[in-house]
Amino acid sequence: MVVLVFTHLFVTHYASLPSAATAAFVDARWAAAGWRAFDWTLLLLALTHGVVGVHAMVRDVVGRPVSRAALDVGAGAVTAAFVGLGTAVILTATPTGDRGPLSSYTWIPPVLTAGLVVIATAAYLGVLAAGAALGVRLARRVPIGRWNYPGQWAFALNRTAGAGVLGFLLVHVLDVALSPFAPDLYDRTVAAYAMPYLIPMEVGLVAAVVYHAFDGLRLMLLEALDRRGTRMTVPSFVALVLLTISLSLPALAVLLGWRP
Amino acid sequence: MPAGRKVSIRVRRFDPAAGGRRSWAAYDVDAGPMMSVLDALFWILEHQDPTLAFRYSCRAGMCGSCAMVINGREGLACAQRLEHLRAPVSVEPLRSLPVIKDLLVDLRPFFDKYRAVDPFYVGHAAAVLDPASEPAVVPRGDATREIVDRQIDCIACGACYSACPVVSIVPEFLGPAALNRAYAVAADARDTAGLERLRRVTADGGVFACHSVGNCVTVCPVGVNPLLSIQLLRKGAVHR
Repeated sequence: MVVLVFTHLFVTHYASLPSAATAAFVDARWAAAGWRAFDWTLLLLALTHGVVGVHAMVRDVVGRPVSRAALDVGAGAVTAAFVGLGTAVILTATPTGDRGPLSSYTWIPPVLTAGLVVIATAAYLGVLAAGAALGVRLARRVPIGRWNYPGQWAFALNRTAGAGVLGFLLVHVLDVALSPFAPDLYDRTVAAYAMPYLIPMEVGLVAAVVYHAFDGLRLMLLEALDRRGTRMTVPSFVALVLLTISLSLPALAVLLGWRP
Repeated sequence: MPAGRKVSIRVRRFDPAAGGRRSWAAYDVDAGPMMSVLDALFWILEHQDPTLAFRYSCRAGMCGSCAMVINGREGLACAQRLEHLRAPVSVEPLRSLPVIKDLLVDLRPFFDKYRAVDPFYVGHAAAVLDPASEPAVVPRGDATREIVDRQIDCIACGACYSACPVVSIVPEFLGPAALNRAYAVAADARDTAGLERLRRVTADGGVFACHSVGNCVTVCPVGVNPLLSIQLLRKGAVHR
């Protein structure tokens, strides 16, 4: 899955721009059966991983068994619906030219774009609020709880990144599903990714994918190394943060117009 | 921080008899040379506030009674010198445990979970009843025994339990200390509780609830590695 994710990330965030993934790009990509198989496999693995992650988070924060079961069933149903939608689109999509059967619904692009702006605004405000709260406590020399420990940051960032990537994945399945039914509206929707206001969120998305993927590999490696691994939790986390920053900066450069 | 000066100590106070609100109280302590945080608490008790409550026993870093949160990190008050800490020094009770008063926490939830893993090895009845029976033989340099010998150094101070974020969000999680103890006895070649013990630590709230955060390894004042025990239990490394 990590290989598939990074291939996808390279195509859409390093070799090109998210806003360049137009309906024509999707048509050209899905003209090859191999890319359809690639996208479908990635969809299946990512959504399966996502629902397992949701299950783990539900077990952590919800105590009542009935509530846990209800949330698990809900998450499973949403996953099944998105797998079904994604599968139908990937396997049956055919090029329809400039317009499709949903092209008269012109309200769709503004609504999806507004949704992206709302998500970005919430993310920016969340980061600013968390940073301000931490800064105030540090300035007043008030203890910052378990945030003194690198492990706490590693854990929280893993959860936040995973939830963020899953949320974007669901939005992404919806917007790509628009491509075969209304190519003109899909193009207007993806054009919104070029808005400067959304660039920090897109870089954050790349960072979240990089961090979440390599943190999973890091934890597997540390567990495999037994005693040596458990003593390397802090240095490996520092290395992971540096790696995430290093791999996110090229994506930022590409979004800002730099071309190799 | 130079010794022999006034050092500001901020203590998280809580008195259920006085409304039960938590608040910070600041004290200026005459810090002598080599003065520990526990010494400073005694100084406050003797010179400024005789109502301050805290737990202690050996004063030598061996019993674990004086575990608390010092400058945001779990540690033993008797083992931390003021001159090594950034002022003002904040002192709080352990986290994830009910506070009885000030720095005194109720350790019952911690020890209830400790008890839940049967923290003692269960031997062969025949080995006790039959004097001719051969005891288990552990060869020199046995790799498992090397780990067990390190892990049984746990002094059950509760620092790892307090630092663990999973304990704070998953009430049924047994916690690092109990799981470490479970590994130490389960990996003992003489233990016969094997599968029953494994069943307990792999159930809800057991080793699979741990997210490998590693705070337990960072804070342990005696160098025990609970995360390693949890990982070895997860891998079934105690199967015989």
